[in-house]
Amino acid sequence: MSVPPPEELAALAARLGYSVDEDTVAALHAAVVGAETAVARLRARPLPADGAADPAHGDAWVRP
Amino acid sequence: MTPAVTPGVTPAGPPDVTDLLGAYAAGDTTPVEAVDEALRALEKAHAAYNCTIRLLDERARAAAAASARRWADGTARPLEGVPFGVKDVIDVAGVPTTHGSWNHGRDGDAPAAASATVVRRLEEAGAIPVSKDATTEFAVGGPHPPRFGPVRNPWDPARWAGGSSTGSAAAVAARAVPCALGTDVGGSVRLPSAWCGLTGLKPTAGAIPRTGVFPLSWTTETVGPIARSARDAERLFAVLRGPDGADPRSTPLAPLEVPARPDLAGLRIAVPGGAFTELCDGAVRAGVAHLVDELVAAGAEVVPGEVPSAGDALPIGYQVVFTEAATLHRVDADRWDSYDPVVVRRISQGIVTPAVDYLRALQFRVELQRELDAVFAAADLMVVPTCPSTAPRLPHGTVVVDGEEFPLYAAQSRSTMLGNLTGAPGLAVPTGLAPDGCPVSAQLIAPPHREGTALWAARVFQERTEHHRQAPPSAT
Repeated sequence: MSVPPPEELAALAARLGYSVDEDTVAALHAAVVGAETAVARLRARPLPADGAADPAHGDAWVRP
Repeated sequence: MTPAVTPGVTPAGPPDVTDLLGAYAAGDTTPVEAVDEALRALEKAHAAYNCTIRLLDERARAAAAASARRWADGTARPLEGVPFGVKDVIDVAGVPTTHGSWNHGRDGDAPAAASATVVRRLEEAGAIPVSKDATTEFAVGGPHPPRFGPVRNPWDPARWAGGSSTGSAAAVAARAVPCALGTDVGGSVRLPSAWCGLTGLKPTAGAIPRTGVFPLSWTTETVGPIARSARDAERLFAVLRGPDGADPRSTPLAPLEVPARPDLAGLRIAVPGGAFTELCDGAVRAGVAHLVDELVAAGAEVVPGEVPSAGDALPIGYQVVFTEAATLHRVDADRWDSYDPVVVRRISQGIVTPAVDYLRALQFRVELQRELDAVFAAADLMVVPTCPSTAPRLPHGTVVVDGEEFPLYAAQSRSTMLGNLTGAPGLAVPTGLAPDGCPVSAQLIAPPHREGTALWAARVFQERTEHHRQAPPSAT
């Protein structure tokens, strides 16, 4: 899956109430592109069958 | 190659926490003298390294006088009279908390109404806050916060002290204070500790309450002590841990158990490779091997253990951190033009993270925890590099790995983010000096709430070696 172009990300940021300049849009686009491989890997990977679907398990792990 | 213990730079200088308490008990010095000396040393260190935002002179001197009376009348508490620094995202009652920024809150430099739980706990144990220490802006900005500027590394002022607990680490490394409080979201206690030759603990998520600490990322953030030795980190952690009734992630804990034995018989350590070592300077790897050798010589056993998904912990961890940070900073979005541009560039990534990806990242957190469970089924600790290189060079903050230059954020948190994303504790331990004369560090990662195991192994290592006693030449 490809990363949305910078102008699309800028529009999304504006819709969510953030005002970001062109440099910032370029930087955030680059960051999204940089993370995309790892993120795409997660999207494609099925969840383990042991209950990881509920992120509350992550909190439970650190509870004594 | 065993990292060097450089002749001529070993100890001298002011005592660490444990020795200072011993000196008070023996009547060799008093809290009044020690706090006066800390305040003088902080002024000198700040002039050299830009590490301090505010000295707490009057408050500290009054507390020191009270501490001296307690030592005299036999009512000294566990940390009576120990001066400490406070990263300036942590509240101290009556003192502004700047977050290293021009843009903190809507009330400017108004003083904090109450101390953070961690400050209050140290004070109730007798310790004395003497400084608010420089931080990168909001604990997430770059090495050049616009309001206060970069903090230079006492080991080499042409380098950065690291961050985000930047001034705290520099002040402890400069021997101006024996310890300090930092916060850690992607390595912000462990990285500056590593780059300044210190022992820094990121505890299990929730072990230390964050009440009164300016938030950056609720999933990943912890408070932790920066000290000169494992024995000092243990003293501080023992006081700091446990619920405060306000931080919902902080729940009742069993007593801290740190074996007092001088050997490590029965300790099993895993030394994973993969993402932990694939971008890692030879001197850092040598330091890890040296630590492992010493642990084995003390009785530990090396067992197999790998974390297959560790390489994704950094990008996915940043996704969680920046999404939460962007959420927290949206209220001030109209003022981002006066933020450190590095803060804006970094946390903006989080604005456009789809909810389904953020939630998948939290599910990945659980998957990583399962991978750690598999390692910890056979091992008590993992030993990995704390960070891939010696301290970043100013002005750009680049790091050098085996002669090749890398951008700061591509390299620095490769081994630390795992602990933030999963919540597992990690202890940064100095392992010597690289050929460039700067410290290298290894990290002991433990299962949740097994900080005592990491502190035990580090203490035994430090009883067998002198690396943690090495001070920057300028501090001796």
